[in-house]
Amino acid sequence: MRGQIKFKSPNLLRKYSILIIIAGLIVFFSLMEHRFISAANITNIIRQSAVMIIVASGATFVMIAGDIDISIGGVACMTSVIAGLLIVKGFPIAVAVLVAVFFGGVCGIISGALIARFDFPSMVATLAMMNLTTGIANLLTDGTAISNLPASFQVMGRGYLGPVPIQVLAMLVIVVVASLVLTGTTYGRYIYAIGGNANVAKLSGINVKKMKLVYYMISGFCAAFGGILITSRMGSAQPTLGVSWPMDILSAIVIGGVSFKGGSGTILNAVFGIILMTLLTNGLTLLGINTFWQAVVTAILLMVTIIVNYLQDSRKKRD
Amino acid sequence: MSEELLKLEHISKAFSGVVVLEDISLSIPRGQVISIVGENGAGKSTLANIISGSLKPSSGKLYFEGKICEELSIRQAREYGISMVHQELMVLPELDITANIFIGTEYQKRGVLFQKKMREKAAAILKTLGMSISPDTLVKDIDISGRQMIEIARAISGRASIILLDEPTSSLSDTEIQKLFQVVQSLKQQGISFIFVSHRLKEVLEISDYIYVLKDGRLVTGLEPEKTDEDEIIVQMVGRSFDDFYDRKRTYFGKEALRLENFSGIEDKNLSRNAHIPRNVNLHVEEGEVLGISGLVGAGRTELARLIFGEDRKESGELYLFGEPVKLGCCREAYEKGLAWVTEDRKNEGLILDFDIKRNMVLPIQRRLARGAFVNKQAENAVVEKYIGRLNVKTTGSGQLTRYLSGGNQQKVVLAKWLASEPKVLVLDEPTKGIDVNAKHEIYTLINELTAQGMAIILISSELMEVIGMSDRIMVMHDGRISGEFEREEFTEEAIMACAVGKEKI
Repeated sequence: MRGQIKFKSPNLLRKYSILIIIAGLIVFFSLMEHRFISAANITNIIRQSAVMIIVASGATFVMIAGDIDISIGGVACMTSVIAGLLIVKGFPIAVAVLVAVFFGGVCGIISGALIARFDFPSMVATLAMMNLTTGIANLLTDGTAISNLPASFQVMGRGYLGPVPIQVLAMLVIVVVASLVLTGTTYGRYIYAIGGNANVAKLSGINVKKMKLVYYMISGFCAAFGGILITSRMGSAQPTLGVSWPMDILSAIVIGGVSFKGGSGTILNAVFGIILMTLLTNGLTLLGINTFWQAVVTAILLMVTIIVNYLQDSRKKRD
Repeated sequence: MSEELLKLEHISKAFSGVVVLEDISLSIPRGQVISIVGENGAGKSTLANIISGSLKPSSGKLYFEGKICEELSIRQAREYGISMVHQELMVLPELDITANIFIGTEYQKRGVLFQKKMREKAAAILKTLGMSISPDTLVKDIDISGRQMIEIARAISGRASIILLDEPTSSLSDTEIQKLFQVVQSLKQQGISFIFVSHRLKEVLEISDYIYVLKDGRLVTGLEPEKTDEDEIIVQMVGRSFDDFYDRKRTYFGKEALRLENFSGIEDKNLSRNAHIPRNVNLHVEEGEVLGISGLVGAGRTELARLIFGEDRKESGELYLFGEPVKLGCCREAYEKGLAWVTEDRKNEGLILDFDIKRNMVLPIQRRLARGAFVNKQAENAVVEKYIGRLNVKTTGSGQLTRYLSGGNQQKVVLAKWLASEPKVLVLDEPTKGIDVNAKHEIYTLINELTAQGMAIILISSELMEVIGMSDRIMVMHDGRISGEFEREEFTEEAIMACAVGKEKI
């Protein structure tokens, strides 16, 4: 009994503190700047978050398993360049998209294999993958954007189904599926177990090496899909896409409440983290605060989050 | 003459509300060997850690040379000259002896080392310890008893007043033990005191000036070695006689369950795990039988388990399950074939401490219970509740984090996790390490129940009394090889120890 009473309250606080912060930010920015609460801006925020949430969902699998994937930006970039090239060459859009997503998965499997088979630290493997993919994207395009992608391709990023933007629908589907996989399937359970203690997971008969391939592949799929949605919205494939993603998305996931150490967290944590970060950048931009300050603010937020997590953890261990 | 060096007054220690030590008062006179004996989980290590400053007592006072020490930190303890020689040796194999002796206490000025001075001092220390070996030797090139001497050398390299020896003889042969005891005697003459933590009672009686017996965290008695014997100590330690505690009775006699033929691992010349790799091991275990595996620390018992389960690479050998040859590439394949393995280190190999009881228990079986890819929560809950009840796990509920369970209950969760997979052959590696006497007895009862239903159990343990008390047959390992096999009627501590240190079976 003692344990329950003692630990329920910080958990509750930890679970919902992010919602309080989000609400606080909304109130603050609305008071400071009336344009913030306008319909146009809200739609904008939702659409911006949607793509980031898709990419973050995949990266969250990796984080829960206690690994990290910093290649998400590079993979998104290379795969959308591939999609763009195929479309320009006259391939059907569906084929181009499928091929791009397929390559996203392949990149993930390669990173996973380097880590599982050759014992690369996950940071190093995905750093290499990031450079490899951005390099290939630049080689394929000679460093320039592939523009004039057809309007039929732009539907994904700009279209609506009824009142709902297609990308938001896509995001909802991915969030629901990802949550189901994580909480309801044995695969999801294995990912948590690996993040909790990979050695115990292995000695319990879980095929940790195979699972590494699986969750890096999922992260690759999501990164590629997110990249294509952005490319579709912009109508051009940019070899500079996703440069800031590793920092932006991974810190949003951590701020949302997924531990860097693995073993805990949910897709919903990542969703809230992304919404918080999008609100913050959007609001600061509207207030006319320059982007360098935004970087400083988000970095400090990340540090504070990790320190708070550390303090809660050490309290847990001491008791 | 017996001036008091260290005094403990009413020392208590609790972890997460679990009392591990209660009201301990004792004193350590100068130049004496004081032994602390007790069962696993009696609190010996905790007490040793408090004396060496690495744990703070929850309450009570410590006095050094009559002066109270408010906060005894490791640094403070070192200044007093208190140091500890750990059971798991803390040496850096890639560095030479000199560097190992002076690690953290280097002779230096502004970061510049006085290499020559240290080397000379190291050579002198080695000489007092009777070791004819160059101080430039890399530690990875010396054997385990030598490595232990290096730890003692480290302890006496600075000011030494009290040296704690935690199970120092558990990996030594007879001659090495005699050598160690000579060193202890001669250092005693120089006024150094020893605290000897052990459950080798014969040695305790031989070397001690005074013996304290711990049971369930309390000091039950102090004994003078001339006026007591092993039997009395055991009764004091266990609280009941040997036969009541270990009531092994084999009731089920089935066919052969598992057989190893010429099992050899890949040789590890550096002993990087401080342990030998099994060589040419032949053994078998029957349904309903408990096969005990005994041997010194580092003899290769855990490594044998790792080899059986395919976690270490095999050089040669065949494994038969119920007469069929089987190849096991990793532990997962072994589990699928009906084997299960309770690993030695429950905190790093057995449990995910930040997961609750339920999620730990279902780890190996959730795939089996699942409907397709989806977790079957009902079936899982049923299994978990069944095993919490069957093993009498004391908990607030299946949602309690295993981190907050006592050692005994943690161990029960690990056992439940593997019993739930309904194995036919169960390997138990140190199943009662660091748990209280009651939980221990419950585990022994469980072993009897499981074998009565036909399970084959391989019991690996460094506690000789446990192996003798609970096995139907014992195989003894020495330096990676099987050095003897004993039937139940041949069990004696002397004969098994003799095999463990490499002598021929008498």
